[in-house]
Amino acid sequence: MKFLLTEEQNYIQKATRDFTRGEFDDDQILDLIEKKCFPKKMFKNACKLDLIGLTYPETAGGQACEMMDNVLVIEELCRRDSTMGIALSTVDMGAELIARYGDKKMVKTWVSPVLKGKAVSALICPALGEEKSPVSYRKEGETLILNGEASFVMNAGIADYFILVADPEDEASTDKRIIAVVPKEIQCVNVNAAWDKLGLDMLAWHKVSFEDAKLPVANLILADSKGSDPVLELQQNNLLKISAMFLGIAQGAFDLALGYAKQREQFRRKIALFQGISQKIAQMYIRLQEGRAAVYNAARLYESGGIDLYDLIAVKLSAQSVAEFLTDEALQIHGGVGYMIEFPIEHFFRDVKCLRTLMGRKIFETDIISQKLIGNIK
Amino acid sequence: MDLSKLEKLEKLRMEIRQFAREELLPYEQEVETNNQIPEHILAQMRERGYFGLTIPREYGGKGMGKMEFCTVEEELAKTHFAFMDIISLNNGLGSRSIVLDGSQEQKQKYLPRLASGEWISAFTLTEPNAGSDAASITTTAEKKGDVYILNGMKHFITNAPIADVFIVIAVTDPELGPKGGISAFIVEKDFPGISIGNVHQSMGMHGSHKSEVIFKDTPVPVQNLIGTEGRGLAVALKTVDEGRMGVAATSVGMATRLLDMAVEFAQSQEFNKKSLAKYQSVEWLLADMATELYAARTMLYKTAEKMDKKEDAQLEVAMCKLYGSEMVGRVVEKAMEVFGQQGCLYQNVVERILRDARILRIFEGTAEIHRIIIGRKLLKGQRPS
Repeated sequence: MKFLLTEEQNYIQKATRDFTRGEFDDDQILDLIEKKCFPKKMFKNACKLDLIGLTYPETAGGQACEMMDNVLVIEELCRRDSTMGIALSTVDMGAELIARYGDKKMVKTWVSPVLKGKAVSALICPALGEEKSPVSYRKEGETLILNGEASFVMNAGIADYFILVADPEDEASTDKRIIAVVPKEIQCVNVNAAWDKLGLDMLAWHKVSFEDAKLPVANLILADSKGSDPVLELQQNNLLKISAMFLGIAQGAFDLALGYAKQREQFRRKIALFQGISQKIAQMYIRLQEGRAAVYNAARLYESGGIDLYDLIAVKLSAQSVAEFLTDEALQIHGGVGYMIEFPIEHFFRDVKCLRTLMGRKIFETDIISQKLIGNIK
Repeated sequence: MDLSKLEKLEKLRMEIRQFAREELLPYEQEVETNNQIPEHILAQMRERGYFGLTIPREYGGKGMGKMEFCTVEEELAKTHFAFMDIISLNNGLGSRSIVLDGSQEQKQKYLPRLASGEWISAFTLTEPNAGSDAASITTTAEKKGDVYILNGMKHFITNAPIADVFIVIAVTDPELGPKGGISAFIVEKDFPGISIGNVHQSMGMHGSHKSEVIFKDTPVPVQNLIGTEGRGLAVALKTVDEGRMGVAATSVGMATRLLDMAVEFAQSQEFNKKSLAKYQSVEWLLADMATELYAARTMLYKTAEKMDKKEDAQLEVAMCKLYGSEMVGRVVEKAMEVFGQQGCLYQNVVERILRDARILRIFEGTAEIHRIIIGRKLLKGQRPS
């Protein structure tokens, strides 16, 4: 099924596809996965092609593209390889907020190096549905005192700074949730060694703790006069980006499964010619198009400001379920070789299991949708 | 089933459970990290006779029936998959064909060594182009005088790098092919021309070794043919039920561990200052996990009992394998929902079981092949009983 794209979107999609086909190398990818290394060189290459910071304002060095363009780029990156694609799609978590709300100096210090492939940002925020951030703050004059511990901060090891969402220490206080840039080198911020984990092998997760860490209030990212909500914007942005990652992984799993089924012979036939397998492929295609329709529609609505958080969560959960189904079926079609690390589907499968936990637990994400639909009743 | 037999089974379960708790569980993370079972554990398993549980008593084994052996497999699978996997070959595919079709000499020479664990066995059937379609193997065994000359390559062979003896399925008559042209052989690792090829690195099953095995002009004495020439596929097919019941029992064991872990985690962790266990969605996840697990366990032991009565249970065995392996796949997904991000950590057993359980829907016959087996039997008029 065709999805209508503008001429520019077709161009961006093709440029990204050419990039991944030309630059991503399966042996290099397996090597980075085995060594659990962040793809530094590929990050720089992606920056050269302006694939990072696509939606940032031009004043911050971005391309001022629409969210739909970014969705297409992320989809293509993750389609070619889940681990590499996700790594490249998450180098700038939260940095877009500085690009939108920060002053010139903040943009120059924090955003520009990321867009040049020289720095990485990491995000610390509560899970969806979580009432309190794991990190709290109190104000002392012009200084914020930070305390708390976030268990799984992606990229914390290689990041130059954190985008931190924190809640007031005093629960009775009427102070609001804040969002700030926290340079990693400030005192009393501690980054633990990376956890060994199931997937996303080019991205490390670390525990990060704050013990009376002092941050100047100048590092706060403040809402503009139009009444925007940076924290909400951050969540919406991430939901769409992660949806695009799931979509790309699902498409990539589909490509791998179809390719394998058309080439693998058993019982003197290509296995794609057995009805059981051929219908699996059709079923995968159906789910894939469902997911794509949802994600593309959400990206377009987002651009016109017409989509709520709960709908974005619904879209993310839908894309997630599509990616779970597609990677699982694609591995199954591969049979025994799908279980071996030299076949890419093996890490596609593991990556989905990790990516889905990134914003919170499915049950609590679902609660947000239920509450919105049912409303306040007695 | 009479009460004394039930009591005996329960006693066995408690014995294995105690051994698992005291001797195996403390080493499960070490096995995962080092990709190897420590020698002192293998020694204990040998001493306790674990390698010969199903081998008849007259050949040094314990002569266990299917219900007893499933009990052992289930309990071991609750620890680390490798502890279950290491004994499964000698008790199943590695010895069964000798027990069923072997000559007196073969039984006397090999079974006691397999039973004691002195020798480790491997079952070499799968080839790169013969997975689900086992009958299309191309490894040949050409008769020359009093030996057969083996040539060919096998892959995904569990235990191959450490095996002392291989049960090899090879083509003796290419003309006849699957219709009487395939035979089974006992091949010792010291026979000339055997080499271990690429050792496979996989998502899970750490501590269990799989590799290619290459035969180049390997002479196998005619006495090492199992049964008669051309009976190889029949010999192999008679024994695959052993592996399939092993998968079903492993599924039940793994799911039991996951359920216990998820219950404990839900009761000890909070979200928004409320115990996870107090959320209805968590309660329902646990309910679904336990219900499916109960169904799989009931099927498993009912089928094992049928096998012990020497009734034909191929249909039920296929169902136990299919349902069990898919059941544990669903249970692991639900456990992951309960555990959230913590479930992704290497130090968390849920993470390991997720990787290990994924092979259960593939090996010993994929889920797709099992649906074909079950469907065909149903169309021939068979029904599970």
